[in-house]
Amino acid sequence: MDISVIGASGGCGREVVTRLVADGVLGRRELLQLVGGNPASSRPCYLHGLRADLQDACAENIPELDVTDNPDDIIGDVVVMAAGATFPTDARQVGSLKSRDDLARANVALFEQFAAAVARNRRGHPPLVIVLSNPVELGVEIFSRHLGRENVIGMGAFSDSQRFRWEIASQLGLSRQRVHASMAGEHGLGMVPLWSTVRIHGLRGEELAATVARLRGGLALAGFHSRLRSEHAALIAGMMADPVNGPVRALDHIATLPPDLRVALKPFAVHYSQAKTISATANATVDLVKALCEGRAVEVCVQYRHEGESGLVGPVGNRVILEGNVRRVVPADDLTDEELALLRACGEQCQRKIGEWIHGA
Amino acid sequence: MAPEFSLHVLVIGLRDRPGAVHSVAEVFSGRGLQMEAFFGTAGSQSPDDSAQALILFRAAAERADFVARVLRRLPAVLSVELLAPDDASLVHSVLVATPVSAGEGVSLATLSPGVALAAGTPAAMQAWLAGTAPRRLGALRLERAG
Repeated sequence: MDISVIGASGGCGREVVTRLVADGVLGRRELLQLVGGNPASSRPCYLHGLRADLQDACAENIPELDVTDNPDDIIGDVVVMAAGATFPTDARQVGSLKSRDDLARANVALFEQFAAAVARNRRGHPPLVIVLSNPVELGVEIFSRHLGRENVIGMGAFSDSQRFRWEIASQLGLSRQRVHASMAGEHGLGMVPLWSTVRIHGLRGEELAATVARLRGGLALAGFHSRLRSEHAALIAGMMADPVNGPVRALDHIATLPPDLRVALKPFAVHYSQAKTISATANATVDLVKALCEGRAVEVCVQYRHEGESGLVGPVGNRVILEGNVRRVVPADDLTDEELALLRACGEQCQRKIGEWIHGA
Repeated sequence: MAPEFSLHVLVIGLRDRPGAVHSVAEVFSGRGLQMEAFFGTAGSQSPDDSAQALILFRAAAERADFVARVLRRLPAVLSVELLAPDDASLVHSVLVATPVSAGEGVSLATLSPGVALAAGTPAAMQAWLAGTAPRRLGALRLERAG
């Protein structure tokens, strides 16, 4: 299998590339393509240097490494889209941040450019595109329009679900492997914790229900988003007031909250600590790519453009079966009515925003 | 019965170094494509000191084009041309037993009593071999003239 990483010189793209090479995900004769996301980059030699550095570092088992700035050269069976504008990481700028709307408008043209190029050259055999760039829902929508929705997924909900599993596991003193849970909806403040999907190894029936209730700390789903918004506002205010130590204080506070709130809020504090969420995102991406390379069918919670499945419309995080590409949406019969209603509302909101972003660009 | 896909010929300029052919072969084997013929030469064996591989294979046109695009991205590959089997620059040849009659687009040159060299484009040769069914005295060779 060949893999193309668009935006390989960015923080996240570089980490994905490095992990793919260091973990030996690809064989010696498979191709890992490092695609520049910006043909007008001020660092045109960067990817050539990265290739040479990776060859020095991992010479024992390294795939063929190709470098290009031309979207028409993309040949991966899996294409990781990591290019695009992102929020600054300096907490001193937290109050003057570009909005998610600005981010979307900045990335519309880029998504369109790469999606059109891949579609132009790969219409008969489209690759699977994994969108890391934000807003992930926008990327999924644009690539889906060009390549067919079954060939496009967004990593946001996958990363959020990995975090959700970890937040539950860490509170119970378990390793993440022993917890299964999905965080669906929007990759942002519109995420929907699917507590109905929580499975904890060794716990069943009433014991599982009691454990989940304890974990939730009395925060019902109905109150989740209003609490999240107020916590988010307080977190931003705290980091603006103290840009140097604010992110650490924010992390300390977040650690006192229930797992679902921690999932939604922690990435903000991590981002403005300037460490960004690169490692978690790259790790989740590489995990998914490994499953694809091994030909495994996996159930994953990812952004996917729905067309009426479970009453959902538009690109929204939900559970799908992935086997090369998206085979089907997992039926929602294990979700509560409240979870499903929130997911549907989230999908509609995402649709509205995407319409504004695309037509406003 | 599975449809028989059309023939294609790849003319690949290679870096003259060990492993170059392996890289090319992996692109085919990794996609379940079989080479019907492979002719490779290191630089020392070529008239212009360039390493080259010619590959004859069957695939749907879009798939053949994609294979060519992948090959172009390999570090070991310098150039790739995807040619149709009736490209006049291609010479497909085989030793055959005589007497035999030439076909359309196929030339015959007698080399010794009972032995002739038949040559033409891959398309012409495929048609001639299927129709005339001469007794072959060796495997087919593929070269690019000029």
